[in-house]
Amino acid sequence: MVDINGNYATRGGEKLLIKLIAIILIGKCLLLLADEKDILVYIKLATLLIFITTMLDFLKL
Amino acid sequence: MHEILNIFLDPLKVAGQSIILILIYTILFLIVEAFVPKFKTWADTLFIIILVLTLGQTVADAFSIMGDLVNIASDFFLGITPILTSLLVVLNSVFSFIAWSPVILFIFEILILLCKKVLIPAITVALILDFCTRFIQDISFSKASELIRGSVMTLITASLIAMVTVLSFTGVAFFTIDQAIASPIKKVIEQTVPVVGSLIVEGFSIFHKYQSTATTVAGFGAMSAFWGASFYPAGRLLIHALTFKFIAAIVEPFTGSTISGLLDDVGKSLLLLCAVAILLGIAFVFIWLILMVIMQLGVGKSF
Repeated sequence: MVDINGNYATRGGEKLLIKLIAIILIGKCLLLLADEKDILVYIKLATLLIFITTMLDFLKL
Repeated sequence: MHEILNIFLDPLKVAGQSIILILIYTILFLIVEAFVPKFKTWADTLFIIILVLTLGQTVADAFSIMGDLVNIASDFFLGITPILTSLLVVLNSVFSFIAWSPVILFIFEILILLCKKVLIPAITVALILDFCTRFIQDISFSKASELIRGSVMTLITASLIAMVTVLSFTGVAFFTIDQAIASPIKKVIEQTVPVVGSLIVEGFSIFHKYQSTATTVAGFGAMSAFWGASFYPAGRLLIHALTFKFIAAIVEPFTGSTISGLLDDVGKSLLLLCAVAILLGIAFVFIWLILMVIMQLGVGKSF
């Protein structure tokens, strides 16, 4: 969405960063608790999905 | 006097407090690790979280200093542009005498625009990517953060080169320091503090031509205060950046590469902010010196 100043990219960037931090924090907690490296693939997948969805949102696709 | 002294001592006190706090945390973590070996898996993660909570305020402070500086500089240039352009028309002979080019104003405006729209968001993103990289080392964003920092550094260097080129071209800047002495000094400073070091040497050599005239007009005390005020934010940012670098150097042997790497990355980002603050300081001083010279040369003219 475009904000009041028309800063579309800034808002998109903020959303992406917040999502990224959230997934990294949750991922780290899971990694520490489960003590398994297999979860890493799912974290990477989630991060990539976040990137793609935000990019699509940014490009209005 | 005490208050003025505090302005300069406060950043150093904050730096000292941060260093002592991190040292205490390091000792505590080492003690806990010694008694509970299983704690080691959680130690790095917890240490990073504590670092963010402890030093986050310093980083936020650095960004707010930069934000304030950019806003002040933006207002200053917005206010001074009509005056300078009017003077440019009225005192054409004076401007041709001091060989000043209006392109400089354009470069300063671009610099402010870059700071507002690119620099602060880009460095914030780089910092967050660094944090993510260090938090889960298997998912690395280091290339992205380095790319962002490198791009910002390129933009800053380009602005500096443009400024120095225009000034040299019009004959305003000439290097009073002997090249034989200046080059090795510059190299040493550049190697120690990239970008900032060369900015200091280049920037200060620009002002020599106007310095004596301006000091005659404004007086030594006023000029010193003026210089101090212009470069105070940059100095404060430099102290913040060097604090992070210093803590990274102290902590490295005791905590491992993750934590010291994160601190070093934050230091690098703050050093970039400092470089831009120095550039803005140079721009600020330069415009004032130009105005002072015009004032002196324009006195008594019938226009």
